[in-house]
Amino acid sequence: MSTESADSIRTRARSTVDWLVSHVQFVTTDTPALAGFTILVGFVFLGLFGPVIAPYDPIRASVQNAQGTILRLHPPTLRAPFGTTAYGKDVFSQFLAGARPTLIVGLVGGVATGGIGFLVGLVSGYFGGWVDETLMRLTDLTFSLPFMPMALLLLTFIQPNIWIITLIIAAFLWKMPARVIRSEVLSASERTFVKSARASGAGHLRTMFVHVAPNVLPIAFLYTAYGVAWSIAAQASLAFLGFGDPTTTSWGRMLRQVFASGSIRVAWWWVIPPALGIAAVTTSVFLVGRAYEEVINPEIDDQ
Amino acid sequence: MSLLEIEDLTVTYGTDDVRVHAVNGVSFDVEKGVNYGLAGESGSGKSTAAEAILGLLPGNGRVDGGSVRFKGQDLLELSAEERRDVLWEEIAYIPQSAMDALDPVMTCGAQIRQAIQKHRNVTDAKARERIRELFDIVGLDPDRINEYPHEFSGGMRQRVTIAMALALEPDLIVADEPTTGLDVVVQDKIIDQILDIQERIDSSLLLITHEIGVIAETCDELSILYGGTVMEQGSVDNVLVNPTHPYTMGLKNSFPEVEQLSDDPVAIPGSPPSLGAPPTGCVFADRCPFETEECTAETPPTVDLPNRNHRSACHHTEQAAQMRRDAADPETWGVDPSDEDASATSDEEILRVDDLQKWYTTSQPLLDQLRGEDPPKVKAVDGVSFSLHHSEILGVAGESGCGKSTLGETVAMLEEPTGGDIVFDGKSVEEYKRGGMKEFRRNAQIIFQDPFDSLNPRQTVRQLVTEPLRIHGIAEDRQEEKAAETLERVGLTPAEEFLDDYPHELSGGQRQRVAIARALVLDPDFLVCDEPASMLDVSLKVNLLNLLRDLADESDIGIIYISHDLASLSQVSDRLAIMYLGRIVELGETARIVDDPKHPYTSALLSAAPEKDPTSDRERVLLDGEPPDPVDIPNGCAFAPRCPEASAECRETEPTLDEAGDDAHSAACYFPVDGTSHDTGESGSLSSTTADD
Repeated sequence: MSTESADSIRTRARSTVDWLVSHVQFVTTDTPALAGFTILVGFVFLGLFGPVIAPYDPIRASVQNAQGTILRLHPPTLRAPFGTTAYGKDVFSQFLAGARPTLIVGLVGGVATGGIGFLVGLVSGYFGGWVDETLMRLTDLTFSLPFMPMALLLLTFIQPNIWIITLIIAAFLWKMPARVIRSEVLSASERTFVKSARASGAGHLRTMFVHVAPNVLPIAFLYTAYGVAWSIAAQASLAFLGFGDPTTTSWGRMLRQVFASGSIRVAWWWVIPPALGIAAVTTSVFLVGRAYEEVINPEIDDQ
Repeated sequence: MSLLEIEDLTVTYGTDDVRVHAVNGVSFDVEKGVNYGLAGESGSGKSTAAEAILGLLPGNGRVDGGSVRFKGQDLLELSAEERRDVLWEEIAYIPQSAMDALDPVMTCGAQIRQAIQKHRNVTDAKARERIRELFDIVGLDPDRINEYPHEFSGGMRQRVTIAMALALEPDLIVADEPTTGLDVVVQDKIIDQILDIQERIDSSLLLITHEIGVIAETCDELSILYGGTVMEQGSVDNVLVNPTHPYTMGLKNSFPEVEQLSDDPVAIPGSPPSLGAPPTGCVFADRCPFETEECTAETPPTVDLPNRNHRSACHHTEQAAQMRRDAADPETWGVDPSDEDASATSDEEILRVDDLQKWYTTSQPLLDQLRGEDPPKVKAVDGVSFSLHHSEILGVAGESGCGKSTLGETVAMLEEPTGGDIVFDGKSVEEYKRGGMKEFRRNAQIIFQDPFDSLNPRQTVRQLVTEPLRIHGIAEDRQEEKAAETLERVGLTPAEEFLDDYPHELSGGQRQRVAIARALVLDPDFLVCDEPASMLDVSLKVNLLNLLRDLADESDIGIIYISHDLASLSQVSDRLAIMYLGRIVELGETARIVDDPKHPYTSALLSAAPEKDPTSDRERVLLDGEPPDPVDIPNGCAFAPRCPEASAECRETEPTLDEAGDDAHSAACYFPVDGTSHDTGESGSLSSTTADD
């Protein structure tokens, strides 16, 4: 009996793994997606270990030459491979350390965006009626509020830190997946197997999570991925406008500093690393997302 | 020289792994002025062949060999532009789904005008005149040419596509399943129309269909395709009356017919071949009961039979007469003839429906809402009463939109009834609703029409079949065993092979069996089947009907079988209920309804079913008009506006179901049809209100 249940758990685990593998395999067949995936892997590595491998402390330590003078606004040299900032800090170290807040905001913001949007869309689309009405008017409300001015207003009164910023981003971005997933749920709920589940006595929770949810999950994944890209872009924008977390170095904040120092036209070595970092990561997310979109349907996948 | 000569046509499709050999060396000729039929089950390559002729193959399809000569010119060698000139001007095409074939944002007239002016330099006024003429030819009101497609019904839209095909008087019309998806009455009208047009303009028709009956009634010659190969071809009269190929025999014998109640239907065992490689030997060999070593070793050549227009690709044509005798016996095909005694229904009632109503409220203008007017109601089911016994199959028939599916879903409590009562197993559903809904759901199951949509694509067969057990907490330690048992009961053997498959890995017939297994795994007492066979090929359909019959006989299940196909209904049902616009107009024992229909609507339905025997000359009872708008049902008998018998009385008061007939067979008609003929012309005198048999 126990071996039997262990077996069934093992087969179930294996089928889950198979399912996941089959969903990630698309990366290997699509060149742009593979490139994007590689960049993302590098980005995650930087986010985890960037501050550790940075040669200097990104904020406190200044780069000095052999004579002991601080190098300010110096183009790339051997001591500072990406050059230095106007304050004599190492751009390379800032770039490495700046990946972590970007990763945190992107990941947490994206997952929260996808998660909230998924639940709202699922409940709204499945139950319909006044539940749908209430949730969708709430969605309309968030659609009608412009993101940037509202976020700036909020951050004027609240001391910004990375978690507050993530929260604000998720609170404004969930509307996109919610709308899309609701419409997917509406059409999935119309399908006969949902009726068939009800006919065999399944309750609302079971029907909603076992029958409807798996059939809209790929869309939710896709929008979570897009949420990651949107969050990174939003966080960079906020930081660039000076509403980032003042205690941490992020790519957006680096751009803010180069702009504030007035040397944005001169110090290309200071501008390119954070700008390219943001652009590469968001583009990669979209590349992978686009390839995933094509394999979203298992029936199409098999033909 | 023939109009169209297809020679050794070979078409393959590229997929990820293999090239599918969809058409393998098909040859046939269509003479001028001849109706030619291409028949076969799904996957036989009939549509692919037509697409190759028209140059409409999808991107991954490729013509690998052969020639398509139209008036001596090889169509395959034309450039895209040259082909455009030939298409429509000389070869017109009627696509399969009339619903989608018309552009919804253009009026029907404008679409036909576009087709005309593309090829001919004519003025708008001239084109307009021609369109009015065409509408007249296909039996549509010429004043409606400026209406949009959504203003027409499905059957009328199909006529518009036919009118469009006729616009330039082409020499050849290719029609791909022109009647599939239409109601039997509408189908009959379209067939009649096609024959009529055939007489008026002298064009040829290439008709592609899986319905042998339609071909038998419209075509002069045919080819029967299987696995991309011609099995048998020749004149319809020879091939269908005296088939020499076992596949034709099986196909013909499995095609259900209303009037053959006593015959056991035949089902061809197995499933169509996968065409991953070009076939060696006879493609039909592994399903053929007369197969010998020669069949698998060598592809049979298509041989001319002496002295008649008839060719057959079988090694055993010389034994055709003997094979025909054997093929009529279901046992040859591995079907056990059902035991007549077992089909006796028990007296115990499982379900009683009393005056059941399901009305839908439609939206109304704001002004009416403010005035406090009642919103208009669609009376999908309007006062239906019947009862169902254990091990009985009640067939519910009617055209689409008559409320039969709503009835099924309401009885299965998927829709809330708006009036009347359902008594299930001695308890009213009101009682079940007060906390016993789970018990009801356990004992009453429903099987849906579309096997491609009724299974969750993300669950394996194992999960699908055990789920009802998990929901109801039954047999917790042996759910898998129970699932396997049920799968084998519905003919998916061995069950282990299927348990880990996802629905998209199964064929249509297998999926429908999984859906049935899912319903049966709880051992229900009552089953609603909503058109379970309508999307299946004819031999699979017969398999399914036999399965349901066995279930009713052996497991004491009461079954409501809903379908528009009266022929298959009459084979499987003990009793029939004929519905029209939400009401049952006739109810009684199957044999009595089929032999002696009392309601004019029933007799019209019965007479509209096509027959597979080309020599029989059935009489058509063509109903006028369309069913009325269900929002605005006329007073009195709902059928009166279309009824040939209707009198003033019919239009004023509505007849009840006990108006004519007796306990075993009743009809809601003041003037029931008399006698055994289907001819409504001479019956219907006032004196025959109570017809006696």
